[in-house]
Amino acid sequence: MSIRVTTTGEPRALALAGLDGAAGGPVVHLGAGGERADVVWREGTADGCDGPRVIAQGGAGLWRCAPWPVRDELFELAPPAGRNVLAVGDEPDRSQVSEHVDQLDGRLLEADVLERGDLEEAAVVVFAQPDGRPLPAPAFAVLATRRILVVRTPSVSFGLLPGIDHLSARTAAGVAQLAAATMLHWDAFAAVRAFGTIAAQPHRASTVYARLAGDLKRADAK
Amino acid sequence: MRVCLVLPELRPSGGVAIAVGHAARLRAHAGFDVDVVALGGVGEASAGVRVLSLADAQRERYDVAVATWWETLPALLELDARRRVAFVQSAEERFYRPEESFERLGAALALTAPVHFFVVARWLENLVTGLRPDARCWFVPNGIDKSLFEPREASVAPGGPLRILIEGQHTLWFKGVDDALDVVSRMREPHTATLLALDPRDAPAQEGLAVIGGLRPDEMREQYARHDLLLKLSRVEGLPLPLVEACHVGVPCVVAPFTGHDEVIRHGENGLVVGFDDAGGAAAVLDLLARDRSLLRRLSVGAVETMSGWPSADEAAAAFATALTDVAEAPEPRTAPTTAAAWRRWRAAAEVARTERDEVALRFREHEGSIRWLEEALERVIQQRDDELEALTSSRTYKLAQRMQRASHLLRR
Repeated sequence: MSIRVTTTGEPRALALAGLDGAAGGPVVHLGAGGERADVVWREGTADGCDGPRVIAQGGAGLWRCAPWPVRDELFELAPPAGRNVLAVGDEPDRSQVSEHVDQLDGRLLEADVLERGDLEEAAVVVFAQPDGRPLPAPAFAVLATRRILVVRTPSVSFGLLPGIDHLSARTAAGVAQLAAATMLHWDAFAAVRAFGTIAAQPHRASTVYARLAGDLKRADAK
Repeated sequence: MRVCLVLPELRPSGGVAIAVGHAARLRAHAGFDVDVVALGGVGEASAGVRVLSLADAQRERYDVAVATWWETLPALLELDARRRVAFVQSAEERFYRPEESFERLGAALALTAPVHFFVVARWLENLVTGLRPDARCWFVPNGIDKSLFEPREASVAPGGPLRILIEGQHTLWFKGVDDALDVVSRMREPHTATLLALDPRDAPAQEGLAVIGGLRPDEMREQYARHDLLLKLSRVEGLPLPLVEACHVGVPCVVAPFTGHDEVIRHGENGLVVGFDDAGGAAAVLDLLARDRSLLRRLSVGAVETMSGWPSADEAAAAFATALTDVAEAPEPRTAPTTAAAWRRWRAAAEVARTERDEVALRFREHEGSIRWLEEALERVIQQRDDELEALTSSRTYKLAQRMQRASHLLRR
C-alpha cells in the first residue's frame, strides 16, 4: 500500500529521511524552507508558527517533537567496509572531538552535517555538538545502518538508552575516548549495534509517514 | 518429561505470572512433570504447581530446566538438567541506568550463558539470534485467558470526560509513569485519570489522580472496561501484556514506540502511537480522542478485531510444551563461544565505565579547581581587608582621632 505523503527538501535530507515511492497527499518538507508545505520537519530546534505545522527536536509551539525518520533503504545499507570514525558538527565543536581521537585503525573523517555518502564510509559516527542539546535529527539513520552512534549527552534522547543502543559522554574527550574504544574492540560492541538497530525500527520512514498521514487526516477532520 | 522452572520469587509480576501460568498448564498436559523453584523463598503459586527450594531441586534430575530473570541463571546452571533454557521476557540490561553498571552487566551476561533461549516477542527473537548464533531460540508467545478478558458490552461513553487508565509501576523509571502524568496534565479537554500499578504505595500525588493496584486478573479486566483508553509510555518493554489485555476488552491504547508495542498496536486501528519525549504532541492526541468519540469507538472496535488471532493461554502453553520437547533433543550450546561472548560484553562495559570514571574525575577536578579559585579569592579579599585596616589604623588622622577620643574621656571625668 502506498503512503499518501510527499517528502520535499534538500537532497541531503531526503537521502537520509525521505520516503521512497511517495504518492501525492500532504507535503512534508525536511530541513530549512518549505513554508508552503503542510508540515515542515526542521533539523535542531525551531518554534511553531502560523504557517505549516512544525516538527523539530526542540522548541516552542511545535506540532510534534521528534527526530527525522530514517529512509527505508538505509536499513539495508551494507556494513562499513573500514573502521572509520566520522565526526559531525560545527567548528570548533568538531575539532575538540577530533583532536582527542587517537589509536584508530581507520581514518578520521569530518563533516559539518551528516550525509549519506559519509555514513557509508563510517563505522562510528560522533555528533560533536555540545552536551545539553536535543539528539541530532539524523541520529537514528546512524543506528539503522548498524553503525555506532556516539553523542555528547543530549537534553532529549527520544527513547535512546545511553550505553545500551548508543554511547554518550559529557565532554569532547569522553566521546572521542568512546569512539576509539569501539574501533579498538569492534566485536565487543556488537550488542550496542544490535540494540541500536532495534531502537531505529519505529523511526522507519514508511512507518512514520504512514502514521503522520493518518494523524494529519484525523486532525484536519476534527 | 521432567521440567524445572527457576523463578526469582512468587510475588505477582508480569514475568513471574507468565512462567507460573505455563507451569500450571504444563502439569495438565500429559507427559510433563513440572517443579518450580522460587529463589526468593517458597510460597503460594497457582493450584497444581509444586514449589521446591533450590536445595531440594538440586537433588532432582530434570530433562529441561528453564530460568526467567537474569539473577536466576546461576541457580539454573547448578541444577542437574540435560538441557537449560533462559526464558527471555525482556532485554533486562535496559532496566538499569548507566550508574547501575554492575547490574547492567549482570543482566547482559544472561544472554551469553551456555543455554538455549525461549523468547516472548519477535524483536527479542531477532536480538537473541543475532547475538547468539550458536544457540537455538524458540518464539513462545504470551497467551491470554480469553474467557476472562472478553470484550466489554458498552465500548465507549458517548460523552463526558475522557477516562484514561495509566498502567505501570511508578517506582520503576522505565515504566514512564511520570511521562504519562505529565502528558495528562497538559490536556485541555475534560478527563479523569487512574494509575494502575502492581504496588500502589508511594504513588505520585497529582490532583484528581486515582491510584489502584494489587489487583487480581478479574479486577484488572473490570478496570479496563471502566476506561476509554489505556495510556502506556514506557521506555522499555518486552511484550507488554496490559496492551493485549486492554485490546481484548475493547480498550484502545495510546503508547510510546517502546520495544514490543508494534507486536500489539496498529496505529489508527486499535490505538495510536505517540513519540518519546513529546508530551505536547501526546496531549494533543488525547485531546483529539476526547473530542472525537467516533474515532475512539472505531479504535475500540478495532482493538477487539485485531486480537482475534492472539493466542489463548492454552495455545501459548502448548507452544511452550512444543519448545520444551524440541530443546530436550537439541545439542547443547558449546561453551567456548558463550565464554567469548561474555568476555566481549565485559570489555564493552569496561570501556564505557572507564569513560564515565574519567568524566567523573574530570568533573571532580573542575569542582576542585573552582573551590581552589574561591579559596584564593577569599584569601585575597581577607588580605585586602587587613591591608586596608592596617593602612587606616596607621594613618595620622586615625591616631589623632584616637588621641582626641582619649582626651575627651579624661575631660568627662
